[in-house]
Amino acid sequence: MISELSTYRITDFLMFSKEALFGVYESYNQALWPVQILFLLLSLILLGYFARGFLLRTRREYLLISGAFSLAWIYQGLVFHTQYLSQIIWAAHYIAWLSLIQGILLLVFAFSSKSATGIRKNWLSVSLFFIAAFAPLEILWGGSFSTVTLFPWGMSPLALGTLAYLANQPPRLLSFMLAVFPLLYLLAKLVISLEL
Amino acid sequence: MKNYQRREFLSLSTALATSTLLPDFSLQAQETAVPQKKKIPTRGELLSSVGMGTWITFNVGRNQRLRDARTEVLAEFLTHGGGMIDSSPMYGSAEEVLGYALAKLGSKKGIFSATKIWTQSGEEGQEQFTSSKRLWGLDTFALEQIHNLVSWKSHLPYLRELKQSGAIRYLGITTSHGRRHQELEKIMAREPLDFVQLTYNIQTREVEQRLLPLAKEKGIAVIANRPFEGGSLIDFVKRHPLPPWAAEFECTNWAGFLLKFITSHPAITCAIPATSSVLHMRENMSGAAGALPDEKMRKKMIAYITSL
Repeated sequence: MISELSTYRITDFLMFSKEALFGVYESYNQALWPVQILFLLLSLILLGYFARGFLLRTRREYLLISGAFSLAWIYQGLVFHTQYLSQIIWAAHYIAWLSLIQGILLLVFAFSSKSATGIRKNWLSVSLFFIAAFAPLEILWGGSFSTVTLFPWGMSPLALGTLAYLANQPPRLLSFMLAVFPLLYLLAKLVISLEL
Repeated sequence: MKNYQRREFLSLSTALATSTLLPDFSLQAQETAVPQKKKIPTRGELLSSVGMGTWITFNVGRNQRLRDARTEVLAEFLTHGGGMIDSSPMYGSAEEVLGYALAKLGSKKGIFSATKIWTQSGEEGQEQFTSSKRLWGLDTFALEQIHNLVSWKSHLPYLRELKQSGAIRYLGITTSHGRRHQELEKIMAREPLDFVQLTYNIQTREVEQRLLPLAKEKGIAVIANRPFEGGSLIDFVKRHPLPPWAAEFECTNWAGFLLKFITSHPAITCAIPATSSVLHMRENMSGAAGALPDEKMRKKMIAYITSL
């Protein structure tokens, strides 16, 4: 059994081509248009928060922003993975469940935070969020403008944006736990990008 | 050199004669020549020696542009007399996209539909067969296979039932990447099968030792998957010139070279390259036209590839 496992390569599990993956992004973007404009505006507001020192004012603001991240993950699970990515990857249904759990945990995380004010500006966080919200990485990978997904409607940018959000929080066990799935997702995306 | 069936010889002669008389259409005449056909041992049915795989290439989801592009690939395959189309429920949306393409082309005439059962559960296997029929838009399949030997003991009786009822004409079992050959050999020796599917190409020839002779002996048709080693083999050889002596077996491109090597093995019935390109499909189908290399030439082909 172990000797058989050693014969497998990552490409054996990639049942889709880069073209097909871009095709999914393209269809997804077409169905979503023009909501992307609203998302870009939301990202600009969030970038402002990140740039001036995240969540310096009230708990209400903090919960609103955390809620936006949580909703974005739930949306990824219910819409992107279940309705789009699952067209070419059957395992997307499992990723959808993980996305839902991530979204719910983010909400739990926000409500369980006693204080979210007084956090200093964190340039790592600002940079990560800027890339997530405005860097069209699909084009660097060979895609066209129609395949570009950004924060919060693209899964990888959302994962990156979530890491930016978590990097701007006081260190807690739950914040580290919440970083696991986005990190694994980004790692998987990197490996897939290199293999395809 | 392989002997032609009389009808094939006449058709090919006509095509060649036409190409001589009408040079403007020579390429088309050559490309649409009647394909090389090989006999399926259990029933004697003839099958074009080059089929079409759908792994990765037809898994394009619901993107309309890509679906239409794959429809063109399928149309090219059928234009050149292609027969076997092989898919699986494991291949994501491939079966659904095939169904779309077949419906759009409006005719399923001439296709040799082959799919698989890929699940541990016997009950789910039956559901998969029903689902495959719906996705392809077919009432029956030519061939139903057990994918990668998964739970084969529980699926084989069901496949026999399907065959008896006329829902399929043939049953088979598959493996790939050279995995689980010992188990496949045992199944081939003990169970009555119409088809086996395995990996065979000019680079990966392990099956020549035991499985192909056994298939020949037991009268089991053989489908060769991964004829281009998942694309890496053809990408490699394309950096080198096609040897001029390839013309001796009417070969004009590397795809034809690699496919003719496979299908010239006496135990092989059909090779199933997958492509998402119309041009590549045309090249693949050239591997089904014209003469096949003999044993001496096959050795020369291996030596040449090894020397690259």
